[in-house]
Amino acid sequence: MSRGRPDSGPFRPSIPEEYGRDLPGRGRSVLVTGASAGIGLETSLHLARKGFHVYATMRDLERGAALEAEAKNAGLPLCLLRVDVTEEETIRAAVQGIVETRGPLYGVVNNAGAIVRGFFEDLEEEEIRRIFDTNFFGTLAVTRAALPGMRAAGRGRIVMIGSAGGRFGMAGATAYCATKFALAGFSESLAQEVAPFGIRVVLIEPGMIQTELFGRNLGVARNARNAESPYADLFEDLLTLSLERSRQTSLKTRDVAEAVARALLSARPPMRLMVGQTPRLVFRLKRYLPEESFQRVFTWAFYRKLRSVRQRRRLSVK
Amino acid sequence: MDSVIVTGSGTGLGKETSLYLAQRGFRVYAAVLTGEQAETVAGAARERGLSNVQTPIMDITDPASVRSCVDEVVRDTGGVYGLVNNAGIGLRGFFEDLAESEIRRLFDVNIFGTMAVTRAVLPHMRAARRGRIVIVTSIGGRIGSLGVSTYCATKFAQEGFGECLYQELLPFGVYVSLVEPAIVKTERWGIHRGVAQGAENPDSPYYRWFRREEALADRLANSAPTRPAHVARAIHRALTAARPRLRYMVGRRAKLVYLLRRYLPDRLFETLYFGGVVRYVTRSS
Repeated sequence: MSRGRPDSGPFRPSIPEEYGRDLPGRGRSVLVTGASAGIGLETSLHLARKGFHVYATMRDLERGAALEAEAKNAGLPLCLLRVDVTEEETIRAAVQGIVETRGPLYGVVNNAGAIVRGFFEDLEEEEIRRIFDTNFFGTLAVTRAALPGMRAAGRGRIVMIGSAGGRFGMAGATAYCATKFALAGFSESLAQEVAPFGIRVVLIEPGMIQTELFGRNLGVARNARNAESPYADLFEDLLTLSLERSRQTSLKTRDVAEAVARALLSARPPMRLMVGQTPRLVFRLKRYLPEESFQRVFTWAFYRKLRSVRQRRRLSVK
Repeated sequence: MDSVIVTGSGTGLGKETSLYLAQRGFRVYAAVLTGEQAETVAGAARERGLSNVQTPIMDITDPASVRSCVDEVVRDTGGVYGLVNNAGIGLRGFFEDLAESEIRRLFDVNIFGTMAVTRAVLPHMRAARRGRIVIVTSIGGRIGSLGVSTYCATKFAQEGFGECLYQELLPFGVYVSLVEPAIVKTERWGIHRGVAQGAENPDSPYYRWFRREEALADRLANSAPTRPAHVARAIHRALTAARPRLRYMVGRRAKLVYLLRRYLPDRLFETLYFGGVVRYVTRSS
């Protein structure tokens, strides 16, 4: 395994050219963003296992050790590349490097993303802009770089990792949900624009995942825990609740990786693919209950849950 | 008399809404972008014999301008009862023809601008323990459409923002509503619909499809039964109902398409509706 560095000398991908020919992925090239951890890491491994040539990209190659080690253990060829989705230059270099040496990209998995937790009034504009830069504008930039090659080839797959938070809003995650809703609207529209070229756009919408952005990256907004905020108590309750839920959830990164593989391999993948039983159920309620009733019940249940968390917190302090 | 700020009141929907609300007794701050627009709106108000319309100048992408406008309203009336986030721009063209700067500008106005004004009024509403935030989105916030990918993205984002905010503010007695109009024929449609520069380039691989899509949009706009007054009525309801709804969809066509989307299996809707649009736009003629 080598680390391709298109910015330093000629780019030589380390994946053997014949790898995967006899597997479902048939050795086609797929670029994955945000591959250093979580969904991105799992997806990169899973796609390599399926016989794709995986270009696992991340902002900081130093953080690629975990992925490298796992790929090595499993005997899977992978190529790590540095891509910061907010720096167009790095995207262009990576895509060009792959296209020049191995031909057009078959797929792109737009996974790089961040979260910022906090009630809306506690978020600074700069924090909101930053999360839009990564989750939304970053995805657009990678998509823009990949499309011309796919059009020329007359085929391709653009996979977006959205979120159940792009299907229903949740207090305390305003900015995050806004980016994921935006991604959903963009995907639906783009899917229609590029379908005539044989390109499919699939939005994967996972619910809360076991590792999800919790280990390293709580993503708490600067002012969210400020004692003077009118939302301070609510936010502490919400944080406790979210941590509890992230431990209870049965949804694994592997489930998302499998959905991505389906989006890449299926002849006619759906435009939107929800992953996880709980979000699917909640969305079904939102869809088939009268919408206003759903919103009221959903909000009522949310605050009821927060109250019970607060009581438990008080007890545990005593 | 309760005060209401209506952003983007210089044209079409905003102007109509401001006058509509003033006629029904609100103290309206019809925020406009230029002095010229201020005069037009003030003139229209005088014509209808309305003395309760102010026309402050506010650029929602400029935090200082937003602050000074909200401060003025609070100084005059002791608070802000309602905010109608109506200001917004469009951007038309297939995604690959849109310049990054055009998309940024779109988000600056539709998303970050809406958020900035909302942020400025919220402390006053919370202090009063009552208030109404209305966001004028679009049917394009529920269903994506080709030729307006990033516009739909901003409208979807407004929907997500609105849903979250609704939940966050309910304990404070502040209600959030989303008003979702179908295509409305306004003066803006003809003059300035926000076509991206790259979309006008005949060398674009999407050029022919874009022209067909624009012709279709024109036809839909010209035959649209929805009028600005219908939207104004929904906004008025959101401001006055004891328990306002989170969503008000305006326009029969929008409601019909949305019903199909809700109750048809996803696959079927994708094939019929999205597939139908694509087939129409790309069919050789």
